Amino acid sequence: MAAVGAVPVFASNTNFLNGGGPSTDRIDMIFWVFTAIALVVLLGVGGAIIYAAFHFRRRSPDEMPKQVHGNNRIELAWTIGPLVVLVALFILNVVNVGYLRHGPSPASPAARQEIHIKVIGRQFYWTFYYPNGKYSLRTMEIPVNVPIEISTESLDVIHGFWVPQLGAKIDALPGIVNHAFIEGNQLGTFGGQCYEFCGVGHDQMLITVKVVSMAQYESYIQHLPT
Amino acid sequence: MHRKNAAANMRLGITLTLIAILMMAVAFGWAALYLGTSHG
Amino acid sequence: MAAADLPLSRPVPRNYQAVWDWITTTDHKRIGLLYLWTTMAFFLVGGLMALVMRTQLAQPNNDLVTASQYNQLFTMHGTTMIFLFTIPVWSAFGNFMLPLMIGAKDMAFPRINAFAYWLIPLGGLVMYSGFFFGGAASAGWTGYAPLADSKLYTPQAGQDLWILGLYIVGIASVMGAVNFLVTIHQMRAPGMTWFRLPLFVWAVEVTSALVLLASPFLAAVGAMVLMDRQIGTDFFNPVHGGNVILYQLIFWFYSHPAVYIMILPGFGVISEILPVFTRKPIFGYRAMAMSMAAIGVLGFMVFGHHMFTVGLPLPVQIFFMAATMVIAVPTGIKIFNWLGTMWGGSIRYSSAMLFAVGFILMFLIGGLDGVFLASLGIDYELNGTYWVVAHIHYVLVGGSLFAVFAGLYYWWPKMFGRYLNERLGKWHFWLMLIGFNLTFMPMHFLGVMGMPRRIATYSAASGWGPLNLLETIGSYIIAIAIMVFLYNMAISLHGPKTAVNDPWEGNSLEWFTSSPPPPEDFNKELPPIESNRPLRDFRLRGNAINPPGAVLP
Repeated sequence: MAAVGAVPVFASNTNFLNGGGPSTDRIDMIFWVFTAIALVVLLGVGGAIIYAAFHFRRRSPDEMPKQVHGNNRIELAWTIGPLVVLVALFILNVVNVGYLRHGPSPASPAARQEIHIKVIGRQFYWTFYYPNGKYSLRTMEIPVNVPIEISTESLDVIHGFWVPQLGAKIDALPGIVNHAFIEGNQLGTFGGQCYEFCGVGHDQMLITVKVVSMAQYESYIQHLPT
Repeated sequence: MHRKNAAANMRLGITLTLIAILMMAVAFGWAALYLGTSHG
Repeated sequence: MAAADLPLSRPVPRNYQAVWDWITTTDHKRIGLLYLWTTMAFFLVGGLMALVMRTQLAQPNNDLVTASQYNQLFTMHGTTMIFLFTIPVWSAFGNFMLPLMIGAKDMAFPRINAFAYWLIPLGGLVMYSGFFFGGAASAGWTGYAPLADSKLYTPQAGQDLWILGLYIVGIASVMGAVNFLVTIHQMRAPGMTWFRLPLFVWAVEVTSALVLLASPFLAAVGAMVLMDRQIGTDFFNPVHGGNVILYQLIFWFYSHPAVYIMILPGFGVISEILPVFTRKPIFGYRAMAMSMAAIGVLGFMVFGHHMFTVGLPLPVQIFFMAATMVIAVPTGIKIFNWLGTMWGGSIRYSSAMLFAVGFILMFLIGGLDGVFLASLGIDYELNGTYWVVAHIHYVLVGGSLFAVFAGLYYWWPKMFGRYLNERLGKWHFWLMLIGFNLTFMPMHFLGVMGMPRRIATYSAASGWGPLNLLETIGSYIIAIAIMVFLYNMAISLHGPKTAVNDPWEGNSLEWFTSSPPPPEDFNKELPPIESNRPLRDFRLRGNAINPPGAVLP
């Protein structure tokens, strides 16, 4: 059973826009802001290109248009304008990135609740070690509304740990321990898989995370093997 | 091609090639520094 | 040698002399054509690999190929398209056109030019020989350590042959760059000052500088991996003091400039074509030249954005996010200036112009979806997913490949003395546009839906099946578009050589000479060079370039 590539029920529980935790709430907000601006630019600039492509077609064989070499005002505008927009998008990221990577700040009450889970990647499955020293394979259970500090490491090649609806992805490297943060604020089952190419079993390295009540989590980890 | 031009071309060509070789040395130096100062 | 060297304008003697002439040629025009045929052949091979991959991915749990075969396919597809097509194809146009555009008689170093060309098919063959030695490279074109760094994980000789092949191709690249730089700096005709150079020449200048400065880093990291694999060094082996992140740092320090190496000449081609077919000067010539230089410089400062999930310190990640966003500014300026060139113009839709406009739109999309990836918060989700695959193909296919087609339709008469059929060209364009968008636009959605890259298959329960099927259909449409083009090429080359010197009302000096040019490039005195459109100036003064009554395409 463990040898067969696990096929859990993904069914759109791998779409980060579906939400699932405070991390993805922030990521979704950033994504929608970018999408709105990108659509405006695409429709505006793309629209202008398509308009020009049609409107300025040659009308007669000898047509000679006005030879315009440039326009300092317009060129300055389309240098400064995009820069201003990009600075705003940059700031939007900078104010969120610490939380996305590390979770709640150490001084906050939420951080005191944090549970630490060690994630080990190897060809071709994930192992999860809980605070009580016990472990599970491929499937992890975490308590709802509790920040989970993940540390990742690999026993062989680089793997990528990712549960789209619960938090930012992080590489699992050999010889280097990385840290990340996931949290679920809804009960349910969420899917993910290794995103860093790791060999012939790369497409089999699935992850299932069940977000459960604290009581259920504590019972679960108590009954795991050591 | 004038001999003067050919010589100037050779000088510039050799200089550029030496720059390329220098860049490769920089890469090895970068590796030595990175591995020398303990990282992870 | 000179008189007997007329390319394609006399019956080819049915003896080995003709073949020997081509093998030993040092004529930049012939070397340009050799680059063209070689890179096109590799493009078709890489494209076939893509079709196999797309067929495998059309349905969930498919077993058309094994995972091991799939891994070799995507590795060799990426490697071929990058190192054996997109990077060297610009040497086809560059070698043929650059000396003509600056009024030189050949490149600075004709024999090194020939030697460098022959390294391309050699390097390619070395890489592909892996298929016959227990399997080709299979760790992706990015070949991360430790997967590619240890025979424990990639034992096949093909992985080592891949590094050797890349070395050979890299040396060719650097030799070519030196040749272009010396030619541009030393061999411009009188009057051809820097700000009168065609923008394609500017593009080749910046690209060559990038090749010269960046490629040695790929050579170095390749040597380190080869040493780790073969003689037991530990550059990237963490067990004995190595560091896997170091591999990525050095690799991407080259490979990010590499993407500009792949697109900048394309920018140059578009900037040549738009003025000709809109009858307007390029909008903001100096800004266009300077923005390419700015992109070249900034291109060295953004490479960390490929490593946002590796675990670099947050301030380092933030720096690379900032630099990546900044590079969007000169890039945006180019798009705006192309729009400004079209605006108020008198546009004629040759196939070249169609592909040029298509380029601008597709590259705009690729640039925008790249800004998403530049954003740390979003990249933490989209890194390593099909969103990235969408982005890279929008800029490399919608961008570079469209620009290659535009350049081919534009310069075909000059290179071969014949025209490509314009009606077939339109079919090629529309099939390509539709097929390309059908294949790669859905990949944005798949990325958001959680589909990672480089997976040989996926489950039905994932929900990724329908969009994958759509993409596969799109890829077959692309294949049909390419076949239309191949057919167009074949019938053109079998036709009579009736092309005139200047079929398109060109602005630059290559259109002054015959199509194809004589062996010595120009057999008349060059017109005076007093602007960045010397041929246009010459034509407007009442000089005829084509014979009277010439039939134009």
